[in-house]
Amino acid sequence: FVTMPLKDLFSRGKKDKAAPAGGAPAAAASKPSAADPIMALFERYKEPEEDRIGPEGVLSLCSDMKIEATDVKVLILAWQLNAQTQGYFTRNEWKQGLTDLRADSPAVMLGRLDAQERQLRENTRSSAFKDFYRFAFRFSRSPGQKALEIETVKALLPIVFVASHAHLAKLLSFLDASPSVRGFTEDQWNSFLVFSHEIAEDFSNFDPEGAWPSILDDFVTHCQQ
Amino acid sequence: KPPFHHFNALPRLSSLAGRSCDLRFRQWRHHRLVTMSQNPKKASFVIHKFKQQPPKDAEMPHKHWQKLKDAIMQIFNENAGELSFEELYRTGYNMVLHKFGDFLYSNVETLLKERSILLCEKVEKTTDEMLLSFVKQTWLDHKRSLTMVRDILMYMDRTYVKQNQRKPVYEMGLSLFCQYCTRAPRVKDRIRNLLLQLLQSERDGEKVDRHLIRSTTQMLVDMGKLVYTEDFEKPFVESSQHYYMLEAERLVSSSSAPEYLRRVESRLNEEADRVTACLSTDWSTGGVRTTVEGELIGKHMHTLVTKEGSGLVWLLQQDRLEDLARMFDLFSRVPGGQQLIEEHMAEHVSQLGRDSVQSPENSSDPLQYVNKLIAIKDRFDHIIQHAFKEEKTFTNRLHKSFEIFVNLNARSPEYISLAMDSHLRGHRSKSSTASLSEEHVEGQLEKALQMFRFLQEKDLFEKYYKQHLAKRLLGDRSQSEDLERKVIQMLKAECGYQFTAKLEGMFKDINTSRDLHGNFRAHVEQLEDPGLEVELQVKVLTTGYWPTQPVVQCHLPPEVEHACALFKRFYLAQHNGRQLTWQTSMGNAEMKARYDKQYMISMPSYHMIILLLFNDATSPLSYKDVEAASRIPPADLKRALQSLACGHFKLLVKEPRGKEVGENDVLSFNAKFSHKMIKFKVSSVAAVKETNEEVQASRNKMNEDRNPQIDAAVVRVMKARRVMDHNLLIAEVTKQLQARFTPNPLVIKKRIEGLIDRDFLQRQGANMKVYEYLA
Repeated sequence: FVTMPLKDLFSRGKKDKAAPAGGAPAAAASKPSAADPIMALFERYKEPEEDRIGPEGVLSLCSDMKIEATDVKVLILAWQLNAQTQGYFTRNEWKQGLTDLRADSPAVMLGRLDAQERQLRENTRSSAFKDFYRFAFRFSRSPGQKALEIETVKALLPIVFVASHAHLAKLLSFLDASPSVRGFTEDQWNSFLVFSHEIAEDFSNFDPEGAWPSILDDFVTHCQQ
Repeated sequence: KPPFHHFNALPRLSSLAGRSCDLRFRQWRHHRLVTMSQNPKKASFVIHKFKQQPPKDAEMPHKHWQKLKDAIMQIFNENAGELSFEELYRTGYNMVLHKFGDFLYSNVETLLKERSILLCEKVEKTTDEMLLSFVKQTWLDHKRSLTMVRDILMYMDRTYVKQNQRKPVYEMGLSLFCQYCTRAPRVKDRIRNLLLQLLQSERDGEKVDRHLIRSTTQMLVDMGKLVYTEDFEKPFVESSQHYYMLEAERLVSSSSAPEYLRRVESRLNEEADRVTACLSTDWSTGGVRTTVEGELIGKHMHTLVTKEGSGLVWLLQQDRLEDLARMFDLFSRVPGGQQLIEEHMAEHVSQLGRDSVQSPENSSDPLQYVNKLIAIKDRFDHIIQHAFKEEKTFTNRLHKSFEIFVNLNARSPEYISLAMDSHLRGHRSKSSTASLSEEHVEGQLEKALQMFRFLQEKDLFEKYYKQHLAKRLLGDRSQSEDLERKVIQMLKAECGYQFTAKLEGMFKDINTSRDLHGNFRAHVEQLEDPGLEVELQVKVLTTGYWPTQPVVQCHLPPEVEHACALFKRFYLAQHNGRQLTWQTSMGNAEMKARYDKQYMISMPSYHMIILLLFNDATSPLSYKDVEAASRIPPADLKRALQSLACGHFKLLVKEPRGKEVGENDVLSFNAKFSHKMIKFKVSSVAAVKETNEEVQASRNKMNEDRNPQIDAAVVRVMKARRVMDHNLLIAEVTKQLQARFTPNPLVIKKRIEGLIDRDFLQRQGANMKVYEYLA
């Protein structure tokens, strides 16, 4: 939840509510949970007026997990929950996701997410990572948009990849130097993953007449100058 | 008493007697006949008991042989007249019968060998001058002798030789002669050298005895093909090669290419004749021809073709058809010769073509541009037809060159359309003096269409052609509707129905409008009070057929406005639901204007609108006044004012003077205007070549129009194939669009990305090279 819209949501959330974190536990207290710790958690963080967890709830969760709101684990959590909307988790998403995750408290959640983060970082060629990577794109889009704005792209890439990931630094500097590139299509986003795995550091095996999206052709040309 | 022998071979002897023996001997008649038992009681043969063989007489074979030997020696010495054939034959026969075949054969062999050696010594003693004829004579004599010897020893040939698989006497004699005489080291070399010398002399122009050469080589052939090949033919080919190599080198530097070729042609004919007459080699298949042609032509092809001032290019420039034909004929005889000519011709044509399309002088006049290209094509078609035997590969190469350089100039499509426009308007070319008969013009149009075929960007041509046709039709500038239709038919045959559908629609509109005009006039006539002050002729154009024009609503003069409104009412009454929009930029007007006298002036509508403003003007009008009153768009307004005030017919006066029309200029009626012609035309909106900005704009529009076509092609192909490799897809799409234009692979790639984004296609998993169709 490190994209710009989310930051806006945070500030909006703060304006609306008089009491931040304090409101959540009070709401939770009014609906005592049964023997289900997962749903108890849901009650703790959910919006008072809606049946879903909102931005402050997320913030609260983060502080309970002792991580920053900008931590990639939040995005991984969203992925695990297959969340549809940025900043919100529905009851079903929460229930299903946490059950799959086998976590019922912030501490356990932290542990699981940590493990996941390590696994994803270790092997970017796994199908799990591919799924996560694609999810990140779709999740970060503004509603109704097909493409992802370039600023979001530039912010998102360093989150899903480690800094040392192949071609990442060069790509970011290329995007900085190319004001005409306004955004990324899903195809371009997905192709970059394949590109980063297949193409050598010096681009020696790059075929300019291949089927790479033309933005990557431009990228290589830019680097070779 | 001599032993009595059984003649089991009697029937064969009698058959021998039946053979014709062309000898100087007396005919030998065989008297021994089969005596069968005539006893009527016994009808069968009587078989006698086998009698014991009498002991062999050891002396007999020697005696017999001596007899034969003496006889053979006589034969050799041409002294055979006194010999008895019968006796000699019988002698041989007896020897073989008595199992002395071996003895006889080896002795004969030895004798013939000795004879050959003797003859050889005689030959060696002869002088060079006499050698060949002496050899010839010796050879003939020896053959004759051998024939006789063969006849005597015929029995041995047929029995002993056959059974023991030895060489028959005649062949043996020949081969011994060959081995010990003709091929004796000193003789062999001398024969060869003499022959080669004679041939060389003839080549050098001396007269030699061809008959002698012929018989000598024939002798060698008779001795065996191998003998001929090794002893004569091979050295002959080598010496020919050497001879002609020197000759070629001498000639090539001292003569011009056509001269050299002429000489070579005659030399080759000579040599062919010589070989056929003197030698037993076949000119066409023997190695000699290839070698000689290789030396004379093959080795110097490149030099000849590229010779300064007389090589292929020069010949082409000078239209030296005969020399070119000779070069083609000779070069065709060696490998790679024809291709060499083809290469250089193509190079030359490409150079001419490139110069032509890139010359600024040509680019300034589209008609000239196209005519120059047609001239090149005509010239080379002619050359290929008359000098290069209409060789298909040459024509193909010519066309390929054209395809390349015609497309080097991006404005070729526009120019070709303008050239055709010029013909269809009936313009007489400055340089041509040809008549303007319809057939001639049709021919010119066909030739221009030939150039069209070479274009890669046919869709660009279509756009321009449509534009120019529109101007022709609307301005009534077409010389002949027949010709126009013919061109449409030609284009349809070239490019298909789709290409010409809209063009044909344009013609339909014109015809419909003609009928409409008649109806409109009738309608006006029966109106009570139409209040019509101007005569209006309307052309109704169906949107979609005609090139799109930006819709401009300028301010029409009231009289014109009234007439237009009347027509609109009339039309819409008949065609309810349609919408009419006036295209004021494309109209024409005929005006009566009073200056010093009454003139009848034909002009575009904008001109008319502007001039009418001055009817009521009491003082000069500023540019801005005119602009406000007419609402004509600035670019067109400036053009019109320029034509009215600075053109050929200065109907207005502009302050300040000068060609350019500025926004602060002031215009007034030119009271001083006068012209000798009462009736004239002011700058009709003729088709002119576009300005650079307009060209760029057209190009941009073209690219935009092409994108959907590329998309459609990609989808079509993917729908059919479902799954396809990236490079194959690009190739297939290019192929599909080739009839209209040649798409850039990078552009196709970008369109594919767009289609992926729009969910028409997807990539196949992590395989970046393959696409899948999404239904």
